[in-house]
Amino acid sequence: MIELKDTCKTYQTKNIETLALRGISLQIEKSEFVSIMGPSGCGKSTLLHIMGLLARPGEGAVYLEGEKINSYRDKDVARLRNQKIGFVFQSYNLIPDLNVIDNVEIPLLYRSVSGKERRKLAAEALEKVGLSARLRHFPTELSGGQQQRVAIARAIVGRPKILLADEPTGNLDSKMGDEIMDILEDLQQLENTTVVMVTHDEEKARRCQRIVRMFDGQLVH
Amino acid sequence: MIRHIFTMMWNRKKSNSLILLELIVTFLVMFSLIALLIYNFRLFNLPIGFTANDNWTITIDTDEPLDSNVFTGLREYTEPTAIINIRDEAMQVLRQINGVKALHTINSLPFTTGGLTTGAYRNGQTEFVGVMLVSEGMPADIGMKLIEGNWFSQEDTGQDWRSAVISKSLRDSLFGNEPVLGEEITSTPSSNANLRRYRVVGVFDQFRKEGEFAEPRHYMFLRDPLIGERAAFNLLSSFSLLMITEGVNSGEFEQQLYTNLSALQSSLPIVRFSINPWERLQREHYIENVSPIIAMGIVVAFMIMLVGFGLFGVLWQNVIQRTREMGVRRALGATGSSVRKQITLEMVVLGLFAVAIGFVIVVQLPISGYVEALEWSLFWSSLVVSSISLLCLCAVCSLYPSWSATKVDPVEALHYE
Ligand SMILES: Nc1ncnc2c1ncn2[C@@H]1O[C@H](COP(=O)(O)OP(=O)(O)O)[C@@H](O)[C@H]1O
Ligand SMILES: [Mg+2]
Repeated sequence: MIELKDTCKTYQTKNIETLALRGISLQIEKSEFVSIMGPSGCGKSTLLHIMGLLARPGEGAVYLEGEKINSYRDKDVARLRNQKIGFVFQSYNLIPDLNVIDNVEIPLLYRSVSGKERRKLAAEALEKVGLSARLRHFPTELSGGQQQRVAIARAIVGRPKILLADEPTGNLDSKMGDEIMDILEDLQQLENTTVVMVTHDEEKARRCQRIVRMFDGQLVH
Repeated sequence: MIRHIFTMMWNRKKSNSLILLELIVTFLVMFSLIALLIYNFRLFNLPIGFTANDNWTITIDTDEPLDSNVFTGLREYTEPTAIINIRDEAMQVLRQINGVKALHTINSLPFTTGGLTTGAYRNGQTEFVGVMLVSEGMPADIGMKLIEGNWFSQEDTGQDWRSAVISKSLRDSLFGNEPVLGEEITSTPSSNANLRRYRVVGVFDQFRKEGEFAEPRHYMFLRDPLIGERAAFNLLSSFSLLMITEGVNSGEFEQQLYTNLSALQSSLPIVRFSINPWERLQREHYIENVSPIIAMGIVVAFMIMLVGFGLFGVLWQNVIQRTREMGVRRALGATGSSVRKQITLEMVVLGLFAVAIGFVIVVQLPISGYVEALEWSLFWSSLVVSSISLLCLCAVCSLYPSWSATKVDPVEALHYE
């Protein structure tokens, strides 16, 4: 499904050069549920961004369903991201000026989907995360767990094959965190979505099929 | 997408209402200037009905006492013989100058306001009319176009009516499609002692004595009976002559004229004289009317520039504030161009709202009739031009901000918590 080959990434800030990824090769199969663990700053988010086509690798190749993405134009990458990948962030990143259902609709705005269809799909996605009763609420009127559920609904509204979650439970208490894990698990098991999740929580990581460990920009075996 | 943008804008109404207010004020200012420009441009493009080239008005003041008893406007009175003599002598001398093609009497300077006026009544309708008192042949000599009948001749000599040649506009409003030649117009409806009667002998196309920038008005030409019974209308202690030249260098000619008139001044009781080439009067008329427009245009251009900078700043600020939103959209699959489209569309929609609200405000002007010159056709054309200008301003001001929005890197934008 996703394959990285000798991927490197350096961040260049004023006078410091940070080597965030140092030659990572990793293969993620279809419908796998993988968690990525490692200490803070070891490059987990960077890895997830590259897998999610949000950032381009400095060196190495990225394959999505067997196709090499490196040379794609930004426009085509955006299209792939829109159609194949769902993203969930630690800090939810909902748009505060839009209510729940409008937030969930966003990915569909960038495809040719009619307004009516958008509403329907968004309502379905929200039902899956158990938030059908909150369609007209604004993000600030929701708890953290509810906001993260909205974010998941937004990530899955376009039925992506891949869901990437960067510490989705990091800001939540353990009960809310477990609810989020249940949703992710259901998605993987019932809809065959490939799920890659970054977490600090050993217990949650153990609910996945595979744990990938990182240290200082490299995989640890 | 449009609906999404409306939702977004509605939810952000607080910050949008400020931009909207700014846009409305800009629209109102633009509308006023553009209406003024179109108004003047249209006036300027209307023919004035005569040519200014080669015409000179010479006004001569004499020291003859002003007899207020005989001043009754257009009513005939016998001119003091002293003045008649001075005028005849002056004309004799001036006619002999090289390059003078014709010499006429005239009662008023072109490209200036003022002059004689009268009411023109017929069939229950009265119009307000400017009157020119000129000698025979003068209208044709300044290039006026006759479209019906004849220029006046001496047929009204000794009659209780005057033969009049009227403008097409007066003909249209008093007579419509009815025949006009030989018909009578009076100065007032009631037949009191001051009633003056005019018999229409001809119709001319257009005469705009006040110049290109004045609203056209009705005019009526009457014969100043220079030759014949020697009665004049409003010539008091001074009189004006119209000199039509041919193939002269105007600088040299004016010098020559000055010399001749100075010589005349020493032999006749002439207090002062002034020479006014029509071309100069026309030029002064242009300057007088165009300068305030240019001044206002500069002020408005400056203001629009400031507003533009303001809009630009507000929009840019808006984009910076929403960097995170743009990052989220990019992460969810928006392309750079769809983000740019969103920002530009938001701005243009705001512009459209401003135009709509501005329309509701400015449409009161022609409805109420408060600003007389702003009739409907001027209103609509000004509206269209100012709306397009405002929308262009919106689009231009959102060019850079929307471009910078496309440069938002989703990872960077979402990095900061
Ligand atoms: N946008 C950035 N600019 C500069 N350095 C960055 C940027 N993002 C991440 N880094 C650096 O790259 C390294 C890896 O970061 P990250 O992938 O966020 O780690 P993790 O998610 O595992 O905490 C860190 O040292 C971090 O400081
Ligand atoms: Mg991280």
